[in-house]
Amino acid sequence: MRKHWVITAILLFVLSSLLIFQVCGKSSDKIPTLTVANWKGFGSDADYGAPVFEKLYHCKVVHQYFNSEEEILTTLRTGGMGKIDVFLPSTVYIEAARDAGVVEPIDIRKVPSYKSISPDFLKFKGAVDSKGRVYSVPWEWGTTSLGFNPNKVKGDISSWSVLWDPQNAGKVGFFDDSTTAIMVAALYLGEDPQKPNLAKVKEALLKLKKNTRTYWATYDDFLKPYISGEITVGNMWTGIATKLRNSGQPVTYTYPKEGTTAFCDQWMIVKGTKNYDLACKWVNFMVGDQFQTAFATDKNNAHCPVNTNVMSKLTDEQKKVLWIYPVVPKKLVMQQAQSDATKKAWLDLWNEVKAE
Amino acid sequence: MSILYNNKNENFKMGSLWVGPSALMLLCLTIVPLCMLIIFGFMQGNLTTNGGFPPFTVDNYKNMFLSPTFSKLMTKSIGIGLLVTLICMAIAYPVAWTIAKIVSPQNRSLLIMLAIIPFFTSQLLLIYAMMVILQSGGILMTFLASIGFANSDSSLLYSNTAVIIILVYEYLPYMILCLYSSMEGINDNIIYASRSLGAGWVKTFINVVFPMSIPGLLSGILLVLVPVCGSFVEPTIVGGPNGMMVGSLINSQFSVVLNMGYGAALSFVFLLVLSALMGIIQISVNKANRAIGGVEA
Repeated sequence: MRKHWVITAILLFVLSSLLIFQVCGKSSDKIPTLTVANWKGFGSDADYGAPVFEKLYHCKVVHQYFNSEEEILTTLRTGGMGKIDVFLPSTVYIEAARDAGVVEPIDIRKVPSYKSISPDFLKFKGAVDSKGRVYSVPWEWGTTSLGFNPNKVKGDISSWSVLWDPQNAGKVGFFDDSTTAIMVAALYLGEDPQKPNLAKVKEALLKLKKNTRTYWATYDDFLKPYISGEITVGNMWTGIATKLRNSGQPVTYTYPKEGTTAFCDQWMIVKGTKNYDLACKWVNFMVGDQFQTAFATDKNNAHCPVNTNVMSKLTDEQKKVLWIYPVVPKKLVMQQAQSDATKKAWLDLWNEVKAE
Repeated sequence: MSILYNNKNENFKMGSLWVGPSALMLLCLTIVPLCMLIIFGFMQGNLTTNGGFPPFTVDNYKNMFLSPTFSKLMTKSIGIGLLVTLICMAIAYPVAWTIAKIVSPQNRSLLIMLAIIPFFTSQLLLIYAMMVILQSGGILMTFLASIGFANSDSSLLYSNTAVIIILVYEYLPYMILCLYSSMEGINDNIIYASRSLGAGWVKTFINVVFPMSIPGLLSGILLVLVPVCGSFVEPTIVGGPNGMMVGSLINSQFSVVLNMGYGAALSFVFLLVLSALMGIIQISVNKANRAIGGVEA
């Protein structure tokens, strides 16, 4: 019995000393820590991202990755604040985040690079309030447009109608996302993509379903059947087109004449952050010339910079990599903030189409 | 509990306190979440800022039964669930019998090991491995093309057939292990008795082996049917445009719109339907057992 007590005492001693070291280690650690919530492998955690920022401002950057924007917004709304300092919602969520009171206005005097951002990206609903306070700073933009295998696709490739063309029956890969699906169908029909006639859209999506081989949601979902030849055409992220091209697959990425769906991700600062100044520095660094140049010229990146200085200096080759050569697409339909009722109606419609 | 308190209070044993941790876990991880599921089902939309509770409503249930989506997907999911379970049973009976009765004891552990090996790999990896086999130009299609059954450019992927094949592959080991554990307990002498009294193999199976394998069969059905009905990864990845099952509908309520209330209501009804289904299966299996004169399981 005595033996047990000795072992227990030793264990307790070891554990408590570990605990003490842990506590001491933390208290001597004076370097401020910035917690950034972003998608995994999305620029800010690259070599030219957080590590450079850490050196510049003598701090530590911790990434917290999220899998859906709903998820991160709910975490913040239901009181999961306190740890995250800055996060990156898309335009769809900035108004919701502001209205839920989970974000702080950004002091633009502390973000000098804000002036370099193209004005096209500063007008989103929810970005600036009626008093002129700025809540979100755009970071990059991209499209979900039409891509196809030029050797195999048939029909008119300048229009979304190619997806509906019976010649491509069973060869279409379509993005499994209610918002994109409804917007693409609206563009095809000539409806207003923000407020389309949902009955007509449903009919069009049901017709498209007959041509569809698979609905995709991840890179892999699209890449596998494309490479094995099961799908030849579809709407895809620029990132997918880049991956296909980098692996030597024949692919053409175009912008249909009706217009194309696009997104723009924005940095927001979480309310009550203890590192407000550092967070402003982070936002400034993220939209500044140095980072935006490095990000835009990364061969594996397919997102375009919002910084006009950087954009104007890109060579044709670099623009080709970003799929904006010879022309930067003009008719961009940005996904906008939607009311909960609209979001629900759109999802219900999409689920009805898939369940049919 | 009756054993613990069968006499008087002084017979209370300190050892029974060991039940505490598992009871606490059961409470925290099963009963509390279940209650939350029921309460959340009556919630309008989502939790509000700082975890506040929105107003109560029955709209979630109303919407569910008014929209054709839920009933359509529910029927489809149960159909696929039953089909996969039946296929698993048909394959698992001979396999379990072989492992339990025919092979030598040394080889038995090897065969069980083979059945368990898929558990060492992640579910997603199993799906991707099967996709490589089923895709166009893959092993299966090339083989079928070489014997003239199919065109090697076509593939089984992105169809409900692919979903069923992959689900059978994933859940077969559960059925085999459950049936094996029941069959191993069947005394060989009973089989010899049945055979020597003139019963053929079919009659022996129906009147002797099947009744004695019922406990394993029921747990096998439970372990296969329930997760298969609720699966949403396989239908999403390989199901093609018609692949959607009820699991995907529930998933979309959380990942796309975060409508916790509707998601919880869907999950709760799904749970009830599955429980009812399991009840029906249990009753009918026991009825069948009685009809062929088996002993109560």
